[in-house]
Order: sequence, then structure tokens, then C-alpha cells
Amino acid sequence: MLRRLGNQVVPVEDPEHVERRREQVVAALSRSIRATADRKRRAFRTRLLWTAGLAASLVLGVGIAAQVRHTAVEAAAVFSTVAEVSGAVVVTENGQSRVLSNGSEFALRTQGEIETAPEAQAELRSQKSSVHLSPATKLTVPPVTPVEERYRLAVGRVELSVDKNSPLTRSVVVETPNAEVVVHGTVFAVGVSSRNKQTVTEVSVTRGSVWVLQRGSQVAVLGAGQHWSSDAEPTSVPPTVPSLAAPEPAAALAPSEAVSRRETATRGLPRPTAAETKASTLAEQSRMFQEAIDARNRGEDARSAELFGRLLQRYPNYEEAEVQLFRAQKRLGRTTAAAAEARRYLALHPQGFARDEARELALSSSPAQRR
Amino acid sequence: MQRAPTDEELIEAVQRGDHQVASVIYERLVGVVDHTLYRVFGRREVDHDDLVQAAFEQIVVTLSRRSYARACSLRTWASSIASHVGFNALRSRRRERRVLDREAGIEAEPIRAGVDVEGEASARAELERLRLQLSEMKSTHAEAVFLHDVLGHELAEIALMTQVSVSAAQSRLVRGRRELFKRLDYVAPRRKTEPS
Repeated sequence: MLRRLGNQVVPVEDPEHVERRREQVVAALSRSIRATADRKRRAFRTRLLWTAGLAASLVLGVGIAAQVRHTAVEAAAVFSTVAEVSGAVVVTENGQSRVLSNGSEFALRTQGEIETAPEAQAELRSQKSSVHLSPATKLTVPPVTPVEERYRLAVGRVELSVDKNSPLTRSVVVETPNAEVVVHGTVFAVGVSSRNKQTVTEVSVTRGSVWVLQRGSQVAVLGAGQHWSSDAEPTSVPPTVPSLAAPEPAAALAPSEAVSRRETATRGLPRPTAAETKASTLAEQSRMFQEAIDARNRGEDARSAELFGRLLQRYPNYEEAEVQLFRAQKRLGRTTAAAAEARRYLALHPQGFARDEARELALSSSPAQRR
Repeated sequence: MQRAPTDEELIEAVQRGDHQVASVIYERLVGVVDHTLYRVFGRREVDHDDLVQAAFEQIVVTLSRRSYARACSLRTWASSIASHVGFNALRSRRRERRVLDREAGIEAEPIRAGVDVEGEASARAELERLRLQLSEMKSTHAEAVFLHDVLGHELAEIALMTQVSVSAAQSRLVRGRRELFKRLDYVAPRRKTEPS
């Protein structure tokens, strides 16, 4: 039956009808071919537009992401901000100077130098401290490191407020041409001025305590309300200059003098005098101490402990080095050795500046305590 | 004398949007489209010209969409499209027939002189029943049976036209025949059906 269906004879149509249908179908076919081609072109254009839009969105997205990342990186790079400016303040960064007007801010990313005019003031804020710059002050701010936040005061006066509750453990140091003031949490002021053609550093403590170092050696520990000047002997607290076995006047010479004398000695003078020998010893002692302090500031406690140990072997009874040694050992977790050093320190310096800390350390490691 | 364009040239012209080739396409394919539609319906219906036009439009669409893989001739492809259009129309007609009698006014094919009138009428009734059953079957099965058993296409051609594998086309044919025989109350032959 299916075969019959296939073999069915198809009758011939009326030619007029065939012609009429031909015209009708050919016209419709022409329209259909044109419309299909138009649709294809439109679809292609739409696809092209979508692709271009998508590509543009992608580029825009990548650009925005890059911008956000760049902003985040830039924000992370900012370590200090100069704010609350009054008067003319010049900030120099990367060799480019910029004058800040009232109320404007400037973020420091690399080492910056801030100079206030005679009538101007500024505030510098970091994560740990805030520094108020008095008029006619010149302060250099190197980038902050994990162990240290340093300010170099060339001239003028700064008032620092260090947040002692800050989770950041780095030290805050104000360096003047002839002193270093190290703090951990306090409010104090440092001034540098010129007196009798000499640079004089003055330190006043409002709250807490600070150490004053000169060429790596601690010269004073100041408490609240106390004052220190590089121009005169401290009145409130005696400076704990490394107590040499037989101090002589020449031992108190400044290292610059010591160095110049040592240079003179190496130029072929037959024999150094006793004073020259003492000065040379002091310079060597200062150098060794500085090396150990630098190691501590870099966080290299083992190296620091080794250097302090070596310094004490060569120059025993050096109070500051003894303190630094038991602290380094404590940081390294060598509790027994730290306690032994603390006991030795207490025996040698019963009234030493770190006696409380040493006593606590010595007791914490005693057998009774351990039990 | 100008050479008639090849199938390939016609297809490329359609894809370019060159509407000048419309008459050439019509001339080349009208015979196969007309005959296929006639076999689907058993006559030329009142809307036969519309169906011819719909089949041609469908051919143009498939050519421009590149659905035609050029693996068979354009005529074979056109017969496949025409049968598809025809069966779709037949199916929708069966649904409509419940409301309208579309066959009213259509002249019955004249019975040739000298033939058995009763036998001819019975044969026509059988063919009409066959078309009815084909239109009510699953479209893929019905088309496979129609293309193979009525229009005489090879299984490989049907596979290319319907864009399925040869085994799938064979399966459709076997299932279609089985369903058709069941619908016509035929007893399936004992020997295994061997599609050509």
C-alpha cells in the first residue's frame, strides 16, 4: 500500500494556475532570501556589538581591579601623614618639594623631609606615634621598618606622643645631631638649637620615660617631668655612661675627637699617649655597642646576644650592655642564661637603672618559682 | 547559451542574499516539492500553493542557516523539507477537521473510465486511511517511513536529510513501520523487516 502511495500518478496542473503560482512563489522567495540575509546581517551586527560591549566591560573591569589594587598598594605604602598644617610647611619627597597650606594633608611613602616656617606648625601621624612640629623645625622621616620608627631632627623642636597600647612593637627613636632618644610609650619633647656655635639637644619628658643615647651609649634615663640637655650635665638623673674600670678625663671625649686622634696616631706618630689609648678604647667600645644595637634593631636577637657577650668579655662592667644581653637572651627564650645574667647584673649594680626588671627575671627563673 | 548554475552556486547565492536566484531555485525544485506534497495529501488541497510557498521558504531558511550539509542533492533535500511541511500541515488539518470541514468544495479526483469503480473507491479509502495513520504517528517515524517507502530514498540519504545516524534512521523506519502496521491492524510479517 505504501508502494501504491509512492506510485500514485500526479495529475498535470492548469498552465495558467502554474504560472500564477510561479509568480507568487518566486516573489515570496525573493523576499525571503533578502529578509534572511538582512536578519543574518543584523544578527552579526548584534553579535559584534555584544562582543565589543563584553570586551569593553572586561577591559573596564580589569582596569578598575588594577586601579583598586594600585590604590590599595599605595595606601599600604603610606607610613606617615602630615596633617593639621598651619602656616607654610614644605614637604620634600623624592627630591620634589611641595608647600602645604592650611588644613591640607600629605601622605609620605618614601623618606620625606618636613620643614616648618618660623610661624608654621604641623602634625605628623604614624600608626604608633604623633609628632608635633613647632615653628622653624626641620625633620627628616625615613620609612618605618618593623623594628624602628625613626625621626631625624636637624633643628627646631618636636613633641612626640607615642601610643604605648599600640600592638606595634617597634621602637620610636628621635635622632638629633648629637643624641638619640629612644621611647616605648610616652609623651616628650625634643629640641635642637644652636648655642655658642654648638648644636644642643634638649629632651623634656611629660609622661612615661625615655632613654637618651649618645653614640650608642645610654647617657640618661628620664622620667616624667625630667629634662636633659646635651649642653650640660643632667640634673635629675645621672647619666649611666659605661663605667670603665679607671675613668679618666680623656675617656669622656667625644668619638669625633677620638677618631681624629686615632687618625693622627695612624699617621706615624711614634706612640700613642695614655689619653689617646683611652679615647681609642672608648671609640672601639662604642662601635661594638652600636653593632650589637643594630643587630637588635634588625630583630637578630641571637647575633645581638653574641655581640653583647663579646663586648662584655672585652669591656666588663658595662651596665647598658649587661642589660641588653639579658634582654636578648630572654627574647631568645634562654631563660636560665637570662636569669644568670640578671643576677650578675644585680650583684654588680644593686642600684642599676634596670634593677627591677633584672630582679623579676632572676626570680622568675628561681627553682622555687619553677616549682 | 548560458550555463545553468549548479546546486553549490545556488546555495552560495542564497547565503549571500542574492534574491535573483529565486526563479532558478523555483524552477529546479518546484517539481519535487509539488509531487511530495501531492503524495502526502493524496491530492492538491485548496491551500496547495501556500504549502508550496511555505516549503520553498523553509528551504531558503535552511540553506542560509547552513543546516543543509551538502551531502545529498538539493532535490533530495527539498523533498525532505516538503514532506516535513506536508506532514505538519496534515497533522494540524486533522486537529482542525473537528471544527471545519476543509475538504468541502475540493473536487474529488476523477475516476478513470474503464476501471472498477468500487475497487478504485476502496483503494482510495485505504490510501486515505494510510495517510490518516501516518499523520497521527510520531512525526520522525512517519517521515522515515514516508521518505523510504513512499518517496524511495535510501536510508543513508534519510539519515543525512534528517541529520541523524544511519542506525537511528533505520530504527525510526523499523519502529515507524511496526506502528503503522499496528494502526492498520495488519499482522506483522514473520520474516524480519529488511530496510533496503
